[in-house]
Amino acid sequence: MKLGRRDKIYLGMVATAIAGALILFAAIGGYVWFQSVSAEETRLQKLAERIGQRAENAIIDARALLVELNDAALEPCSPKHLELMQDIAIARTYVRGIGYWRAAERQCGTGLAEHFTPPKASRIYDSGMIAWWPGEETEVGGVQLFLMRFGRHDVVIDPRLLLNSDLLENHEVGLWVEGLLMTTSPKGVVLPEPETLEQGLTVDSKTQRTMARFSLGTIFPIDVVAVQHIQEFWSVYLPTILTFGAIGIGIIWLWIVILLKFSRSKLGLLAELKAAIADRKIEAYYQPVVDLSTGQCVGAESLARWTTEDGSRVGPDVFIPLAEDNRLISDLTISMLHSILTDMGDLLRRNPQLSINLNLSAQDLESDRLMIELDSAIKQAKLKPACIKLEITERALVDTDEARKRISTLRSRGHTIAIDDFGTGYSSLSYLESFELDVLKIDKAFVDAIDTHAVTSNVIVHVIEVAKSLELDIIAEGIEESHQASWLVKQGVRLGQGYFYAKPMASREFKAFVRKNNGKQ
Amino acid sequence: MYLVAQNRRLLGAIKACVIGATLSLSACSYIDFQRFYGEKPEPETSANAKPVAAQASLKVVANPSELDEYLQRLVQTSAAPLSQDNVGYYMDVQYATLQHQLRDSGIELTRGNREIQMIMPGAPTFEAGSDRINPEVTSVLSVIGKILTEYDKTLVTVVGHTDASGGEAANHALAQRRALAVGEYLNRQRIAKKRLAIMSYGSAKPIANNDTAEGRAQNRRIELILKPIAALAAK
Repeated sequence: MKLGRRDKIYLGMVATAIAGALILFAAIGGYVWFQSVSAEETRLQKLAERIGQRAENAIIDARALLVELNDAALEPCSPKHLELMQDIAIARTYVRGIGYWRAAERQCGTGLAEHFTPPKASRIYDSGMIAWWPGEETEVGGVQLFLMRFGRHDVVIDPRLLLNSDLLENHEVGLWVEGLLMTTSPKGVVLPEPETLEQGLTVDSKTQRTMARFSLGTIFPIDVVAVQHIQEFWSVYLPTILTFGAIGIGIIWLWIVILLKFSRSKLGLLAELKAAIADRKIEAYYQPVVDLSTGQCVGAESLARWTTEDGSRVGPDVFIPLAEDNRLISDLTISMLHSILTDMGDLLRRNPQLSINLNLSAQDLESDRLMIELDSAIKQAKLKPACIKLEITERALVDTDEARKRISTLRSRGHTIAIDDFGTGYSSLSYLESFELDVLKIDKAFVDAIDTHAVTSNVIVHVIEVAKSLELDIIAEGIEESHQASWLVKQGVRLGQGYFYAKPMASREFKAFVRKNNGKQ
Repeated sequence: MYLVAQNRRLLGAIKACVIGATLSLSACSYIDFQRFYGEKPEPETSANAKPVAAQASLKVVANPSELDEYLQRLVQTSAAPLSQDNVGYYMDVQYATLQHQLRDSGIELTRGNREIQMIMPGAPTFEAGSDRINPEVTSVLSVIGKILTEYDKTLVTVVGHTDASGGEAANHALAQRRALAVGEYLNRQRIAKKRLAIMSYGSAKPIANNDTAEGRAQNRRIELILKPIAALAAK
């Protein structure tokens, strides 16, 4: 199947709409994602800083308390010594016990009385401080403890209390101090080593987890690793995502509406107009032209009326310029001609004194196409050219030899040439004189100036004079009141049209109007 | 990786205060017993004091294998040898204590797998050709002695070295006299005689160039090797 121009336009529109929607959706999606990730990252950063700070404070504190105990100069294991150890331990939630040792023998102490002697220190500092990170050797009741010893005192720390569980929400969190794992929450969960992760938040689509690593390097290096299932991440940011999603859909909807409106009003309308012209869907309506003194109908001006397929009426002020802009006007004129001949053929044959006016545009005079069509169609309908009067607007009278020649030819065939909307253009009298014309139509704007008792503008008087001096017949347009008609008759204007006599009407009504008005078939 | 901290050589007093790693303390003094143990220090015993145990000589070993044999005998005869499980902890804690107490002394500490090695710089310890301990060094030896009385489940081997000047036999004899002098000093610091072993390498194991005065001074040195009095792990 070959695609028509109309199909192509529609396909283009659809493609544009989809592409635009996708771009919008991607942009909004990207924005929401970025926002959510960076918000989460900021949140986790703060969490990590708090955890890290807490851990660091605890370790510094433990170090200080060991120094304090060694400096105390008390009799070893004396009541005063024991009391001091007890006081220190009680004041700190994370301290599980304090011991006083000689070499590898615990002499006395407070809290946990376990004799931890792990075979391998994690760290021995130049200062003489020793640290054993949580491990199997320091496990009591399923909890692996953190030990520090300095001189003859040691302190047992519960590393779980370095992670504030209130802050963790649904994260799996690990705390690394000096690159060694201190504790995790929940207990025993396996987390990726900090070195394997990038700084900040990363989303691992493979395992469907968000992983965050934050390194804090204040006094000693601390790493906090927080892992969360992506569902948790979504649940936290779902309201945000939904909000932005709704806004996004709104924007996309608006985009499509605008696009459709645009396409229907411009491209779609054009395509419809083309189809309407081709399918003869543009009807001819007829506004009777009457003899002002007798009231007899002498003919009608044909007017194009377009009702689209969805039933809405499109005004000629919209579709005539559209047709002109797209060089469809000759098609429209020819379509109108055929409608007139179909509708009025009988009537015109029986009443040769009647005539129907057909509006021509400048484009119609640019080629011979209309001339040929007009000639053959009239002959085919067995009519005389005189029964079709041609109306040309003042502005359409283009000053080319060809146009001039064509008007002359049409006239010589027997068509009457009327100049439409006279007075609205800027033509000079001499310019008008250079065309061969028969009728001058006075625009409604000037007829409106005929008031009840006087004429509010003298232009109409001059226009009538011009017509007379050019020996042109006159048709007054837009007569709405009887006094306007009587004034015009007084001025010697013979013909007129307007709501005072009849509105534009369909062909059948027009025929009835003629029958009724003229009193004969 | 097993962490081996090492004090830099030679009187790096200020440096030692600065390099103390992340958990280091501000205290830089190394003979501050009161601070460290919460006890009064023992009264200083001068190097010139009359020898207490001169009549009973210290165990002299010729080489490392003799030393091992001696250690094994010591383990067997010891009333309470160190349990195998405690060796690591014991040596770590002892090492850390020495590290803290000797941080400004210029003594070089090395933690090996089952031993702690201390190299006492030569020049301040002995004059060339002499086996008389310099008085400044005796305070350092007092500190070491004090710690070793607490950590009494280690064998202390005193190894003597000389520079390359002089004949081999003479050097060997001089190195042994030097080791003996230090051993006897430590014995006077209440280190039991059976815990002390004396060994001499003469000039066979220089650590510096013997062509310069400075290098020779470094080679005139004493090494202390601490080994746990514990049975070797069953094969």
